[in-house]
Amino acid sequence: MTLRRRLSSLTLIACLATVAALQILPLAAAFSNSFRTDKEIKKLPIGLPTRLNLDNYVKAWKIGGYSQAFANSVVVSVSTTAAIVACSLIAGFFLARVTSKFTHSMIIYFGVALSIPVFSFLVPVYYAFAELKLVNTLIGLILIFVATNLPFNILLARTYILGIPKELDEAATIDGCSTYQVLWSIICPISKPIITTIALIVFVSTWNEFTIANTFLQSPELKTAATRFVLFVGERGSDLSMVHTAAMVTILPIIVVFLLLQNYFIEGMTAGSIK
Amino acid sequence: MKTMIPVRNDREKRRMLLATFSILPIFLYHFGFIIMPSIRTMYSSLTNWNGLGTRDFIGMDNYLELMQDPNFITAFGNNLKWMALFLTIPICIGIILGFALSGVTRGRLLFRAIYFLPYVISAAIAGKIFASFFNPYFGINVVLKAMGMDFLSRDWLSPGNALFSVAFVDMWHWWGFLLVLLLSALQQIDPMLYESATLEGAGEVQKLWHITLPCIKQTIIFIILITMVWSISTFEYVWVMTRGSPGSELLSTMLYKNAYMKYRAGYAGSIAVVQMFVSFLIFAGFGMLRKRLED
Repeated sequence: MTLRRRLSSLTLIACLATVAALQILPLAAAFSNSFRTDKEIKKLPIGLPTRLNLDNYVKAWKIGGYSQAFANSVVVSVSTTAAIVACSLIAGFFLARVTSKFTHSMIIYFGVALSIPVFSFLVPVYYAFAELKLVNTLIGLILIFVATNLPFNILLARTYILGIPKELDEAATIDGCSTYQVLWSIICPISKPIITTIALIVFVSTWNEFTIANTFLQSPELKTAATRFVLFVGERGSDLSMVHTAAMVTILPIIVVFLLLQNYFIEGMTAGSIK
Repeated sequence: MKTMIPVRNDREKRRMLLATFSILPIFLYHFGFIIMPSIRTMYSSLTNWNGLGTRDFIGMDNYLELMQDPNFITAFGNNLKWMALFLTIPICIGIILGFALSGVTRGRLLFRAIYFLPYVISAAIAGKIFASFFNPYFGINVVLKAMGMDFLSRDWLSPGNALFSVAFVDMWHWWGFLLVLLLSALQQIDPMLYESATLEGAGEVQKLWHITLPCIKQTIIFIILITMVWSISTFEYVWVMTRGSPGSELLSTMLYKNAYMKYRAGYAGSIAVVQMFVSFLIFAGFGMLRKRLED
Protein backbone atom coordinates (compact mmCIF):
# COMPACT_ATOMS: atom_id res chain seq x y z
CA MET A 1 0.00 0.00 0.00
CA THR A 2 2.65 2.53 1.00
CA LEU A 3 4.81 1.47 -1.94
CA ARG A 4 1.90 2.00 -4.30
CA ARG A 5 1.18 5.36 -2.78
CA ARG A 6 4.79 6.38 -3.06
CA LEU A 7 4.87 5.28 -6.68
CA SER A 8 1.74 7.25 -7.55
CA SER A 9 3.08 10.34 -5.81
CA LEU A 10 6.34 9.93 -7.76
CA THR A 11 4.36 9.76 -11.01
CA LEU A 12 2.50 12.88 -9.96
CA ILE A 13 5.75 14.74 -9.25
CA ALA A 14 7.14 13.59 -12.61
CA CYS A 15 4.07 14.94 -14.43
CA LEU A 16 4.23 18.26 -12.58
CA ALA A 17 7.94 18.53 -13.33
CA THR A 18 7.35 17.86 -17.03
CA VAL A 19 4.77 20.64 -17.20
CA ALA A 20 7.16 22.94 -15.34
CA ALA A 21 9.94 22.12 -17.81
CA LEU A 22 7.71 22.85 -20.81
CA GLN A 23 6.48 26.06 -19.21
CA ILE A 24 9.99 27.33 -18.58
CA LEU A 25 11.47 26.05 -21.87
CA PRO A 26 10.86 29.16 -24.03
CA LEU A 27 12.46 31.44 -21.45
CA ALA A 28 15.31 29.03 -20.77
CA ALA A 29 15.97 28.73 -24.51
CA ALA A 30 16.01 32.50 -24.89
CA PHE A 31 18.36 32.76 -21.91
CA SER A 32 20.66 30.16 -23.41
CA ASN A 33 20.50 31.92 -26.77
CA SER A 34 21.68 35.13 -25.16
CA PHE A 35 25.13 33.46 -24.98
CA ARG A 36 25.08 32.13 -28.55
CA THR A 37 25.68 33.74 -31.92
CA ASP A 38 23.05 34.59 -34.49
CA LYS A 39 24.39 31.84 -36.74
CA GLU A 40 24.15 29.19 -34.04
CA ILE A 41 20.60 30.21 -33.16
CA LYS A 42 19.46 30.11 -36.76
CA LYS A 43 20.95 26.66 -37.17
CA LEU A 44 19.16 25.36 -34.09
CA PRO A 45 16.96 27.78 -32.10
CA ILE A 46 17.02 25.68 -28.92
CA GLY A 47 20.48 24.70 -27.74
CA LEU A 48 23.17 25.15 -25.17
CA PRO A 49 25.84 27.82 -25.55
CA THR A 50 29.36 26.73 -26.46
CA ARG A 51 30.98 29.49 -24.44
CA LEU A 52 29.91 31.76 -21.62
CA ASN A 53 30.70 35.43 -21.93
CA LEU A 54 28.79 38.66 -21.66
CA ASP A 55 29.69 40.00 -25.13
CA ASN A 56 26.08 39.84 -26.28
CA TYR A 57 24.92 41.65 -23.18
CA VAL A 58 27.43 44.46 -23.54
CA LYS A 59 26.48 44.89 -27.19
CA ALA A 60 22.70 44.71 -26.63
CA TRP A 61 22.91 47.11 -23.70
CA LYS A 62 24.77 49.63 -25.81
CA ILE A 63 22.95 49.50 -29.14
CA GLY A 64 19.61 48.99 -27.46
CA GLY A 65 20.04 52.23 -25.55
CA TYR A 66 19.24 50.42 -22.36
CA SER A 67 20.87 52.85 -19.91
CA GLN A 68 18.34 55.41 -20.98
CA ALA A 69 15.44 52.95 -21.27
CA PHE A 70 16.09 51.59 -17.77
CA ALA A 71 16.30 55.11 -16.35
CA ASN A 72 12.93 55.93 -17.97
CA SER A 73 11.37 52.73 -16.68
CA VAL A 74 12.67 53.35 -13.17
CA VAL A 75 11.35 56.92 -13.13
CA VAL A 76 7.92 55.83 -14.40
CA SER A 77 7.58 52.72 -12.23
CA VAL A 78 8.92 54.24 -9.01
CA SER A 79 6.78 57.40 -9.27
CA THR A 80 3.65 55.42 -10.08
CA THR A 81 4.35 52.96 -7.29
CA ALA A 82 4.88 55.71 -4.70
CA ALA A 83 1.68 57.49 -5.69
CA ILE A 84 -0.36 54.28 -5.71
CA VAL A 85 0.94 53.09 -2.33
CA ALA A 86 0.02 56.44 -0.75
CA CYS A 87 -3.41 56.70 -2.40
CA SER A 88 -4.42 53.11 -1.82
CA LEU A 89 -3.46 53.23 1.87
CA ILE A 90 -5.44 56.42 2.44
CA ALA A 91 -8.48 55.35 0.42
CA GLY A 92 -8.28 51.73 1.60
CA PHE A 93 -8.11 52.88 5.24
CA PHE A 94 -11.18 55.09 5.05
CA LEU A 95 -13.12 52.58 2.96
CA ALA A 96 -12.40 49.91 5.56
CA ARG A 97 -13.05 52.00 8.66
CA VAL A 98 -15.80 54.46 7.84
CA THR A 99 -19.26 53.29 6.87
CA SER A 100 -21.30 55.90 5.08
CA LYS A 101 -23.30 56.20 1.89
CA PHE A 102 -20.30 57.81 0.26
CA THR A 103 -17.76 55.14 1.19
CA HIS A 104 -20.25 52.43 0.22
CA SER A 105 -20.75 53.90 -3.25
CA MET A 106 -16.97 54.35 -3.63
CA ILE A 107 -16.40 50.64 -2.96
CA ILE A 108 -18.88 49.83 -5.72
CA TYR A 109 -17.37 52.47 -8.00
CA PHE A 110 -13.82 51.11 -7.75
CA GLY A 111 -15.15 47.57 -8.13
CA VAL A 112 -16.86 48.47 -11.39
CA ALA A 113 -13.84 50.50 -12.52
CA LEU A 114 -11.71 47.33 -12.36
CA SER A 115 -13.29 46.02 -15.52
CA ILE A 116 -13.22 49.07 -17.79
CA PRO A 117 -11.34 48.08 -20.95
CA VAL A 118 -8.32 50.22 -21.77
CA PHE A 119 -9.63 51.34 -25.15
CA SER A 120 -12.79 52.87 -23.74
CA PHE A 121 -10.74 55.83 -22.52
CA LEU A 122 -7.36 55.64 -24.26
CA VAL A 123 -8.12 57.48 -27.49
CA PRO A 124 -9.73 60.61 -25.97
CA VAL A 125 -7.01 60.77 -23.29
CA TYR A 126 -4.39 60.56 -26.01
CA TYR A 127 -5.80 63.41 -28.06
CA ALA A 128 -6.47 65.52 -24.95
CA PHE A 129 -2.84 64.96 -23.91
CA ALA A 130 -1.73 65.89 -27.41
CA GLU A 131 -3.37 69.29 -26.97
CA LEU A 132 -1.86 69.69 -23.50
CA LYS A 133 1.60 68.73 -24.86
CA LEU A 134 1.68 65.73 -22.51
CA VAL A 135 2.12 63.11 -25.22
CA ASN A 136 5.72 61.98 -25.40
CA THR A 137 6.49 62.96 -21.81
CA LEU A 138 7.18 60.64 -18.89
CA ILE A 139 4.93 62.69 -16.63
CA GLY A 140 1.99 62.11 -18.99
CA LEU A 141 2.53 58.36 -18.84
CA ILE A 142 2.82 58.45 -15.03
CA LEU A 143 -0.47 60.38 -14.80
CA ILE A 144 -2.34 57.66 -16.71
CA PHE A 145 -0.62 54.77 -14.96
CA VAL A 146 -1.66 56.18 -11.59
CA ALA A 147 -5.27 56.33 -12.77
CA THR A 148 -5.34 52.81 -14.21
CA ASN A 149 -3.67 51.23 -11.16
CA LEU A 150 -5.86 52.88 -8.51
CA PRO A 151 -8.99 50.68 -8.27
CA PHE A 152 -7.37 47.27 -7.86
CA ASN A 153 -4.86 48.41 -5.26
CA ILE A 154 -7.33 50.52 -3.28
CA LEU A 155 -9.57 47.48 -2.91
CA LEU A 156 -6.58 45.30 -2.08
CA ALA A 157 -5.50 47.68 0.71
CA ARG A 158 -9.07 47.90 2.00
CA THR A 159 -9.40 44.12 2.23
CA TYR A 160 -6.19 43.94 4.22
CA ILE A 161 -7.05 46.77 6.59
CA LEU A 162 -10.47 45.19 7.25
CA GLY A 163 -8.51 42.34 8.82
CA ILE A 164 -6.73 44.62 11.31
CA PRO A 165 -8.66 44.73 14.63
CA LYS A 166 -10.57 48.00 15.06
CA GLU A 167 -9.69 48.03 18.76
CA LEU A 168 -6.16 49.12 17.87
CA ASP A 169 -7.50 52.27 16.20
CA GLU A 170 -9.84 52.96 19.09
CA ALA A 171 -7.11 52.59 21.68
CA ALA A 172 -4.93 55.03 19.75
CA THR A 173 -7.82 57.47 19.40
CA ILE A 174 -8.40 57.39 23.16
CA ASP A 175 -4.70 58.13 23.59
CA GLY A 176 -5.31 61.28 21.58
CA CYS A 177 -4.23 60.30 18.06
CA SER A 178 -5.95 62.01 15.16
CA THR A 179 -7.34 59.84 12.37
CA TYR A 180 -4.33 60.43 10.14
CA GLN A 181 -1.98 59.72 13.05
CA VAL A 182 -3.77 56.39 13.51
CA LEU A 183 -3.25 55.65 9.83
CA TRP A 184 0.42 56.61 9.96
CA SER A 185 1.52 55.13 13.28
CA ILE A 186 -0.84 52.17 13.74
CA ILE A 187 -2.10 50.99 10.33
CA CYS A 188 1.02 51.60 8.23
CA PRO A 189 3.44 49.50 10.31
CA ILE A 190 0.97 46.58 10.48
CA SER A 191 0.27 46.89 6.74
CA LYS A 192 3.88 46.38 5.69
CA PRO A 193 3.11 43.08 3.91
CA ILE A 194 0.33 44.60 1.83
CA ILE A 195 2.45 47.67 1.10
CA THR A 196 5.14 45.34 -0.23
CA THR A 197 2.55 43.49 -2.30
CA ILE A 198 1.04 46.65 -3.77
CA ALA A 199 4.46 48.12 -4.52
CA LEU A 200 5.48 44.90 -6.23
CA ILE A 201 2.31 44.56 -8.32
CA VAL A 202 2.42 48.18 -9.46
CA PHE A 203 6.15 48.18 -10.14
CA VAL A 204 6.02 44.99 -12.20
CA SER A 205 2.87 45.89 -14.13
CA THR A 206 4.12 49.36 -15.05
CA TRP A 207 7.55 47.99 -15.97
CA ASN A 208 5.87 45.48 -18.28
CA GLU A 209 3.09 47.64 -19.66
CA PHE A 210 3.09 47.89 -23.42
CA THR A 211 -0.13 49.31 -24.89
CA ILE A 212 -0.27 52.66 -23.11
CA ALA A 213 3.48 53.22 -22.95
CA ASN A 214 3.92 52.43 -26.62
CA THR A 215 1.10 54.78 -27.60
CA PHE A 216 2.09 57.75 -25.45
CA LEU A 217 5.89 57.64 -25.82
CA GLN A 218 7.11 57.88 -29.37
CA SER A 219 10.67 59.15 -29.37
CA PRO A 220 13.19 56.36 -28.73
CA GLU A 221 15.05 58.21 -25.99
CA LEU A 222 11.85 58.43 -23.89
CA LYS A 223 10.72 54.83 -24.26
CA THR A 224 10.52 52.45 -21.31
CA ALA A 225 12.55 49.23 -21.36
CA ALA A 226 9.70 47.04 -22.66
CA THR A 227 8.66 49.41 -25.45
CA ARG A 228 12.25 50.22 -26.33
CA PHE A 229 12.77 46.48 -26.76
CA VAL A 230 9.93 46.27 -29.30
CA LEU A 231 11.47 49.17 -31.22
CA PHE A 232 14.85 47.42 -31.06
CA VAL A 233 13.36 44.21 -32.48
CA GLY A 234 11.77 46.23 -35.26
CA GLU A 235 15.17 47.63 -36.22
CA ARG A 236 17.44 44.67 -35.51
CA GLY A 237 15.07 41.74 -35.55
CA SER A 238 17.21 39.84 -38.05
CA ASP A 239 19.98 39.31 -35.47
CA LEU A 240 18.38 36.70 -33.21
CA SER A 241 21.22 36.71 -30.68
CA MET A 242 20.53 40.41 -30.12
CA VAL A 243 16.76 39.85 -29.89
CA HIS A 244 17.11 37.17 -27.24
CA THR A 245 19.81 39.01 -25.30
CA ALA A 246 17.83 42.26 -25.27
CA ALA A 247 14.78 40.30 -24.13
CA MET A 248 16.77 38.90 -21.23
CA VAL A 249 18.12 42.33 -20.30
CA THR A 250 14.54 43.62 -20.12
CA ILE A 251 13.04 40.79 -18.09
CA LEU A 252 15.89 39.68 -15.81
CA PRO A 253 15.28 42.43 -13.21
CA ILE A 254 11.62 41.43 -13.03
CA ILE A 255 12.42 37.72 -12.78
CA VAL A 256 14.90 38.34 -9.95
CA VAL A 257 12.41 40.53 -8.06
CA PHE A 258 9.67 37.95 -8.60
CA LEU A 259 11.74 35.00 -7.42
CA LEU A 260 12.82 36.88 -4.29
CA LEU A 261 9.35 38.12 -3.37
CA GLN A 262 7.00 35.71 -5.14
CA ASN A 263 4.89 35.01 -2.08
CA TYR A 264 3.93 38.66 -1.65
CA PHE A 265 3.11 38.83 -5.33
CA ILE A 266 1.03 35.67 -5.64
CA GLU A 267 -0.86 36.14 -2.35
CA GLY A 268 -1.68 39.68 -3.39
CA MET A 269 -2.91 38.71 -6.82
CA THR A 270 -5.22 36.05 -5.39
CA ALA A 271 -6.50 38.18 -2.51
CA GLY A 272 -7.17 41.13 -4.79
CA SER A 273 -8.82 39.14 -7.53
CA ILE A 274 -11.18 36.94 -5.57
CA LYS A 275 -12.57 39.48 -3.13
CA MET B 1 -25.25 58.57 29.06
CA LYS B 2 -27.44 61.12 27.34
CA THR B 3 -24.60 63.53 26.86
CA MET B 4 -22.37 60.79 25.44
CA ILE B 5 -24.52 60.15 22.39
CA PRO B 6 -24.25 63.56 20.73
CA VAL B 7 -20.48 63.60 21.28
CA ARG B 8 -20.16 60.20 19.63
CA ASN B 9 -22.33 61.24 16.71
CA ASP B 10 -20.30 64.37 16.36
CA ARG B 11 -17.09 62.41 16.17
CA GLU B 12 -18.61 59.93 13.73
CA LYS B 13 -19.75 62.81 11.55
CA ARG B 14 -16.29 64.35 11.61
CA ARG B 15 -14.79 61.03 10.61
CA MET B 16 -17.25 60.66 7.74
CA LEU B 17 -16.43 64.14 6.56
CA LEU B 18 -12.70 63.43 6.77
CA ALA B 19 -13.22 60.17 4.84
CA THR B 20 -15.17 61.97 2.15
CA PHE B 21 -12.57 64.71 1.75
CA SER B 22 -9.72 62.20 1.70
CA ILE B 23 -11.25 59.89 -0.91
CA LEU B 24 -12.87 62.57 -3.05
CA PRO B 25 -9.65 63.79 -4.75
CA ILE B 26 -8.65 60.20 -5.57
CA PHE B 27 -12.11 59.50 -6.95
CA LEU B 28 -12.15 62.71 -9.01
CA TYR B 29 -8.69 61.93 -10.38
CA HIS B 30 -9.80 58.48 -11.51
CA PHE B 31 -13.11 59.83 -12.83
CA GLY B 32 -11.31 62.52 -14.82
CA PHE B 33 -8.81 60.17 -16.39
CA ILE B 34 -10.98 57.11 -16.97
CA ILE B 35 -14.72 57.81 -16.84
CA MET B 36 -14.88 61.23 -18.52
CA PRO B 37 -12.83 60.05 -21.51
CA SER B 38 -15.01 56.92 -21.72
CA ILE B 39 -18.07 59.13 -21.97
CA ARG B 40 -16.24 61.15 -24.59
CA THR B 41 -15.58 57.95 -26.52
CA MET B 42 -19.30 57.25 -26.56
CA TYR B 43 -20.01 60.74 -27.86
CA SER B 44 -17.22 60.67 -30.43
CA SER B 45 -18.59 57.41 -31.84
CA LEU B 46 -21.47 59.53 -33.11
CA THR B 47 -19.13 61.91 -34.93
CA ASN B 48 -16.61 61.85 -37.77
CA TRP B 49 -13.81 63.00 -35.42
CA ASN B 50 -10.29 62.41 -36.75
CA GLY B 51 -8.64 62.93 -33.37
CA LEU B 52 -7.63 66.52 -33.84
CA GLY B 53 -9.69 69.42 -35.10
CA THR B 54 -13.43 69.67 -35.28
CA ARG B 55 -16.00 66.94 -35.34
CA ASP B 56 -19.41 66.79 -36.98
CA PHE B 57 -22.30 64.91 -35.50
CA ILE B 58 -23.21 62.10 -37.90
CA GLY B 59 -25.63 60.09 -35.77
CA MET B 60 -25.45 56.33 -36.14
CA ASP B 61 -23.40 56.39 -39.37
CA ASN B 62 -20.31 54.81 -37.74
CA TYR B 63 -22.39 51.97 -36.38
CA LEU B 64 -24.13 51.41 -39.70
CA GLU B 65 -20.74 51.29 -41.41
CA LEU B 66 -19.46 48.91 -38.75
CA MET B 67 -22.32 46.48 -39.36
CA GLN B 68 -21.35 46.28 -43.04
CA ASP B 69 -17.58 46.27 -42.53
CA PRO B 70 -16.37 42.73 -43.36
CA ASN B 71 -13.26 43.46 -41.28
CA PHE B 72 -15.42 44.09 -38.24
CA ILE B 73 -17.39 40.87 -38.75
CA THR B 74 -14.12 38.89 -39.02
CA ALA B 75 -12.61 40.64 -36.01
CA PHE B 76 -15.68 40.02 -33.88
CA GLY B 77 -15.69 36.37 -34.94
CA ASN B 78 -12.02 36.10 -33.98
CA ASN B 79 -12.78 37.55 -30.54
CA LEU B 80 -15.45 34.88 -30.10
CA LYS B 81 -13.01 32.15 -31.16
CA TRP B 82 -10.52 33.60 -28.71
CA MET B 83 -13.13 33.48 -25.98
CA ALA B 84 -13.98 29.85 -26.78
CA LEU B 85 -10.30 28.89 -26.58
CA PHE B 86 -9.75 30.71 -23.30
CA LEU B 87 -12.93 29.36 -21.72
CA THR B 88 -11.71 25.81 -22.24
CA ILE B 89 -7.97 25.19 -22.48
CA PRO B 90 -6.40 27.38 -19.77
CA ILE B 91 -9.25 26.76 -17.32
CA CYS B 92 -8.97 22.98 -17.78
CA ILE B 93 -5.20 23.05 -17.36
CA GLY B 94 -5.59 25.28 -14.30
CA ILE B 95 -8.15 22.98 -12.67
CA ILE B 96 -6.24 19.75 -13.40
CA LEU B 97 -2.91 21.12 -12.19
CA GLY B 98 -4.58 22.84 -9.27
CA PHE B 99 -5.91 19.48 -8.12
CA ALA B 100 -2.59 17.77 -8.75
CA LEU B 101 -0.63 20.45 -6.95
CA SER B 102 -2.92 20.57 -3.91
CA GLY B 103 -2.01 16.90 -3.33
CA VAL B 104 1.70 17.70 -3.19
CA THR B 105 3.39 19.20 -0.18
CA ARG B 106 7.07 19.09 -1.01
CA GLY B 107 8.00 21.44 -3.82
CA ARG B 108 4.55 22.95 -4.14
CA LEU B 109 5.83 26.51 -3.86
CA LEU B 110 8.53 25.86 -6.44
CA PHE B 111 6.06 24.44 -8.97
CA ARG B 112 3.67 27.28 -8.30
CA ALA B 113 6.43 29.82 -8.90
CA ILE B 114 7.46 28.22 -12.20
CA TYR B 115 3.89 27.93 -13.50
CA PHE B 116 3.20 31.50 -12.52
CA LEU B 117 6.46 32.98 -13.82
CA PRO B 118 5.23 33.75 -17.38
CA TYR B 119 2.51 35.93 -15.85
CA VAL B 120 5.11 38.47 -14.70
CA ILE B 121 6.86 38.61 -18.09
CA SER B 122 5.91 41.57 -20.27
CA ALA B 123 3.72 40.69 -23.26
CA ALA B 124 6.08 42.80 -25.34
CA ILE B 125 9.03 40.53 -24.56
CA ALA B 126 7.26 37.17 -24.41
CA GLY B 127 5.47 37.98 -27.67
CA LYS B 128 8.70 38.79 -29.47
CA ILE B 129 10.56 35.75 -28.10
CA PHE B 130 7.76 33.47 -29.30
CA ALA B 131 7.53 35.31 -32.61
CA SER B 132 11.17 34.44 -33.22
CA PHE B 133 10.43 30.78 -32.43
CA PHE B 134 7.47 30.93 -34.82
CA ASN B 135 9.73 32.10 -37.65
CA PRO B 136 9.14 29.53 -40.41
CA TYR B 137 12.86 29.27 -41.33
CA PHE B 138 14.78 29.68 -38.06
CA GLY B 139 12.25 28.72 -35.43
CA ILE B 140 10.81 25.54 -33.98
CA ASN B 141 10.33 24.19 -37.49
CA VAL B 142 14.09 23.56 -37.47
CA VAL B 143 13.79 21.67 -34.18
CA LEU B 144 10.85 19.64 -35.50
CA LYS B 145 12.86 18.72 -38.58
CA ALA B 146 15.82 17.66 -36.45
CA MET B 147 13.48 15.46 -34.43
CA GLY B 148 12.04 13.91 -37.59
CA MET B 149 8.63 15.49 -37.02
CA ASP B 150 8.61 17.52 -40.21
CA PHE B 151 4.91 16.93 -40.75
CA LEU B 152 4.18 19.20 -37.76
CA SER B 153 6.06 22.19 -39.12
CA ARG B 154 4.12 25.03 -40.69
CA ASP B 155 4.08 28.79 -41.10
CA TRP B 156 2.90 29.54 -37.57
CA LEU B 157 2.00 33.17 -38.07
CA SER B 158 0.37 32.82 -41.50
CA PRO B 159 -3.29 33.90 -41.78
CA GLY B 160 -4.59 30.38 -41.20
CA ASN B 161 -2.55 29.78 -38.03
CA ALA B 162 -1.84 33.22 -36.56
CA LEU B 163 -4.85 33.45 -34.25
CA PHE B 164 -4.14 30.08 -32.66
CA SER B 165 -0.40 30.68 -32.39
CA VAL B 166 -0.92 34.00 -30.64
CA ALA B 167 -3.63 32.53 -28.40
CA PHE B 168 -1.22 29.73 -27.51
CA VAL B 169 1.35 32.25 -26.29
CA ASP B 170 -1.23 34.25 -24.36
CA MET B 171 -2.45 31.03 -22.72
CA TRP B 172 1.12 30.12 -21.82
CA HIS B 173 1.25 33.37 -19.87
CA TRP B 174 -2.32 33.17 -18.50
CA TRP B 175 -3.01 29.70 -17.10
CA GLY B 176 -0.50 30.00 -14.25
CA PHE B 177 -2.54 32.88 -12.90
CA LEU B 178 -5.72 30.77 -13.02
CA LEU B 179 -3.87 27.93 -11.31
CA VAL B 180 -2.83 30.22 -8.48
CA LEU B 181 -6.43 31.38 -7.98
CA LEU B 182 -7.76 27.80 -8.01
CA LEU B 183 -5.02 26.49 -5.78
CA SER B 184 -5.72 29.10 -3.14
CA ALA B 185 -9.44 28.25 -3.30
CA LEU B 186 -8.69 24.54 -2.93
CA GLN B 187 -6.43 25.17 0.04
CA GLN B 188 -9.12 27.13 1.83
CA ILE B 189 -11.41 24.10 2.00
CA ASP B 190 -11.65 22.85 5.58
CA PRO B 191 -9.97 19.40 5.75
CA MET B 192 -12.54 18.49 8.43
CA LEU B 193 -15.19 18.37 5.70
CA TYR B 194 -13.31 15.58 3.92
CA GLU B 195 -12.64 13.72 7.15
CA SER B 196 -16.25 13.66 8.22
CA ALA B 197 -17.31 12.69 4.70
CA THR B 198 -14.88 9.76 4.81
CA LEU B 199 -16.27 8.70 8.19
CA GLU B 200 -19.75 8.72 6.69
CA GLY B 201 -18.50 6.48 3.92
CA ALA B 202 -18.37 8.93 0.99
CA GLY B 203 -16.27 7.90 -2.03
CA GLU B 204 -13.75 10.13 -3.83
CA VAL B 205 -16.24 11.07 -6.56
CA GLN B 206 -18.87 11.99 -4.01
CA LYS B 207 -16.38 14.12 -2.13
CA LEU B 208 -15.38 15.89 -5.33
CA TRP B 209 -19.00 16.53 -6.25
CA HIS B 210 -20.37 17.51 -2.84
CA ILE B 211 -17.41 19.23 -1.19
CA THR B 212 -14.71 20.33 -3.62
CA LEU B 213 -16.83 21.69 -6.46
CA PRO B 214 -19.24 23.72 -4.30
CA CYS B 215 -16.27 25.21 -2.44
CA ILE B 216 -14.44 26.38 -5.59
CA LYS B 217 -17.61 27.31 -7.50
CA GLN B 218 -17.24 31.03 -6.74
CA THR B 219 -13.67 31.03 -8.03
CA ILE B 220 -14.63 29.23 -11.23
CA ILE B 221 -17.51 31.63 -11.88
CA PHE B 222 -15.14 34.55 -11.31
CA ILE B 223 -12.61 33.06 -13.74
CA ILE B 224 -15.27 32.52 -16.40
CA LEU B 225 -16.44 36.11 -15.95
CA ILE B 226 -13.00 37.72 -16.32
CA THR B 227 -12.15 35.38 -19.20
CA MET B 228 -15.23 36.45 -21.15
CA VAL B 229 -14.77 40.15 -20.46
CA TRP B 230 -11.05 40.16 -21.26
CA SER B 231 -11.56 38.12 -24.43
CA ILE B 232 -13.57 40.99 -25.88
CA SER B 233 -10.81 43.55 -25.41
CA THR B 234 -7.61 41.48 -25.62
CA PHE B 235 -4.82 43.33 -27.41
CA GLU B 236 -1.19 43.16 -26.31
CA TYR B 237 -0.05 39.74 -27.50
CA VAL B 238 -1.78 40.07 -30.86
CA TRP B 239 -0.40 43.53 -31.47
CA VAL B 240 3.14 42.58 -30.48
CA MET B 241 3.18 39.38 -32.53
CA THR B 242 1.15 40.10 -35.67
CA ARG B 243 -0.24 43.64 -35.41
CA GLY B 244 -3.59 42.07 -36.22
CA SER B 245 -2.52 40.71 -39.59
CA PRO B 246 -5.16 39.02 -41.74
CA GLY B 247 -6.33 36.03 -39.79
CA SER B 248 -5.63 37.51 -36.39
CA GLU B 249 -7.51 40.80 -36.57
CA LEU B 250 -9.37 41.48 -33.33
CA LEU B 251 -11.69 44.30 -32.28
CA SER B 252 -8.87 46.00 -30.37
CA THR B 253 -6.33 45.83 -33.20
CA MET B 254 -8.91 47.16 -35.63
CA LEU B 255 -9.73 49.92 -33.17
CA TYR B 256 -6.06 50.80 -32.70
CA LYS B 257 -5.43 51.06 -36.43
CA ASN B 258 -8.45 53.31 -36.91
CA ALA B 259 -7.57 55.55 -33.98
CA TYR B 260 -3.86 56.06 -34.60
CA MET B 261 -3.09 55.09 -38.19
CA LYS B 262 -6.16 55.88 -40.21
CA TYR B 263 -7.09 58.94 -38.12
CA ARG B 264 -10.68 57.81 -37.71
CA ALA B 265 -11.07 58.32 -33.96
CA GLY B 266 -14.85 58.48 -34.26
CA TYR B 267 -15.04 55.14 -36.02
CA ALA B 268 -12.58 53.67 -33.49
CA GLY B 269 -14.86 55.01 -30.77
CA SER B 270 -17.77 53.02 -32.15
CA ILE B 271 -15.69 49.82 -31.85
CA ALA B 272 -14.82 50.74 -28.25
CA VAL B 273 -18.50 51.24 -27.53
CA VAL B 274 -19.27 47.80 -28.95
CA GLN B 275 -16.62 46.37 -26.58
CA MET B 276 -18.08 48.24 -23.62
CA PHE B 277 -21.59 47.13 -24.55
CA VAL B 278 -20.64 43.47 -24.85
CA SER B 279 -18.73 43.63 -21.53
CA PHE B 280 -21.77 45.21 -19.93
CA LEU B 281 -24.00 42.44 -21.30
CA ILE B 282 -21.65 39.81 -19.86
CA PHE B 283 -21.68 41.47 -16.44
CA ALA B 284 -25.45 41.86 -16.53
CA GLY B 285 -25.84 38.22 -17.53
CA PHE B 286 -23.65 37.08 -14.64
CA GLY B 287 -25.50 39.36 -12.26
CA MET B 288 -28.83 37.83 -13.27
CA LEU B 289 -27.36 34.33 -13.06
CA ARG B 290 -26.06 34.99 -9.55
CA LYS B 291 -29.43 36.33 -8.45
CA ARG B 292 -31.16 33.28 -9.79
CA LEU B 293 -28.66 30.96 -8.07
CA GLU B 294 -29.14 32.73 -4.75
CA ASP B 295 -32.95 32.64 -4.88
